[in-house]
Amino acid sequence: MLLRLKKDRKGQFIIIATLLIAIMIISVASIMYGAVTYFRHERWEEYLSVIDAVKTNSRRIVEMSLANYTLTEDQAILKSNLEKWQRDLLETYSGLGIGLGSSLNNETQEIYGVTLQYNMGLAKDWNKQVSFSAANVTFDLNLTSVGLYGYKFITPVFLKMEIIDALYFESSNEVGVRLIIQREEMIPINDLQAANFVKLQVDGENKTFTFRHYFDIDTLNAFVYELRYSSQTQPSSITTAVSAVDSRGIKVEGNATLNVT
Amino acid sequence: MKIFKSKAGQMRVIESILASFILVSAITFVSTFAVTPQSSTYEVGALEKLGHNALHGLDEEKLLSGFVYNQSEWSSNFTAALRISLPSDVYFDLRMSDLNGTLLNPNIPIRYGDPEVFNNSDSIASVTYCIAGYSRFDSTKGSEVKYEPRTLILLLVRE
Repeated sequence: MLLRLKKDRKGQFIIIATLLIAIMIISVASIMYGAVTYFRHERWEEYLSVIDAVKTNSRRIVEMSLANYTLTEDQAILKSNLEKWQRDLLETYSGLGIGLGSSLNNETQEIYGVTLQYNMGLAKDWNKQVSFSAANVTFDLNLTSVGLYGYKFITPVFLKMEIIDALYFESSNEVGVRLIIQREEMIPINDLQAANFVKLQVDGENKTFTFRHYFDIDTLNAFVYELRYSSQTQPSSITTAVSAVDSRGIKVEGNATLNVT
Repeated sequence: MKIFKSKAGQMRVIESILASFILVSAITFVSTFAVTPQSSTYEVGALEKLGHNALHGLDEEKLLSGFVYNQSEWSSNFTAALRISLPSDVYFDLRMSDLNGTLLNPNIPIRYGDPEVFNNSDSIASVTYCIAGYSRFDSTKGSEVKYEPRTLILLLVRE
């Protein structure tokens, strides 16, 4: 019996070797499986791209509605556009289970250091030295095909115009009204041209003007627009009204009485 | 005489060769299921990402609505902008439709590359992008605001 065990030693070795090889194969297979499925995890990025597109276009809807509101005073335009957008989204991205809800701000809110009273998500506070046009919507996005529910994003749209001062230029006999125009997050708007200033009125009279823009690093530390009109004498003070429309079509109107220096 | 004595050692060599053969076979077998960066599955995903980034980039730069709602830009500036935004070895064909599904550019191709490539390739990516409308100020036309959704379908294939 002992002799037989000794004789069969090679067979035992083969069994052990087979087991070791099996373990190695399973180990290699599990490592390979991890490697081959690595790139599959990136498939969810296509849903991120849909979310990006929805966010960008939802902002566009708010901007369009604010532009329309500042031109036509239609207080219901934002609500109407959002309803259409929510319905059209379902058709465009059918099969993704997309659902976009929105709540329009109807409260008084302090934003960028100013207090605004929203009505159906829209607000304007015009004909002041510091004037605003604003919109604010909170969106709620569902994407049921990937199990995304209640993804909230806030879309504030904002245009501010501040009439700073009025300067007299003796050399050219001109008065220059200086303004600062900013958008949301107080980013200075620096792409406006003379045509964007649709009205310059001084003491109730429309004025033709020349246009300058520059960064005033010495006193204001801000990007400044200067609207110059002719005046043979230096007035002590003026009451000026200015209307500006930005590249998105959003309008703001300001009014101020200034000492001319 | 010596050759007969070393028979056990030869067996080990044969076992090692067999083991190596089994290992290589296992790796080859598993690798057929791999989704590697070179595989067609991954290629479509990569092209989709490129396409979306190109359209979204143009949209963020406020250029896309100007192209989409201005027919005179389609075959010139819109095509050029997409060619710049995408790698030179990627062919594209952009189809634009309204919400009813009516194709708006059947006679004005916004395309780069041989149309035959789109018929013959196994790895065609398709990106859907929606644009809601536009609001802008133009010194000659004044303010324009329009809600008019357009669906862009960008087909992409590598050369």
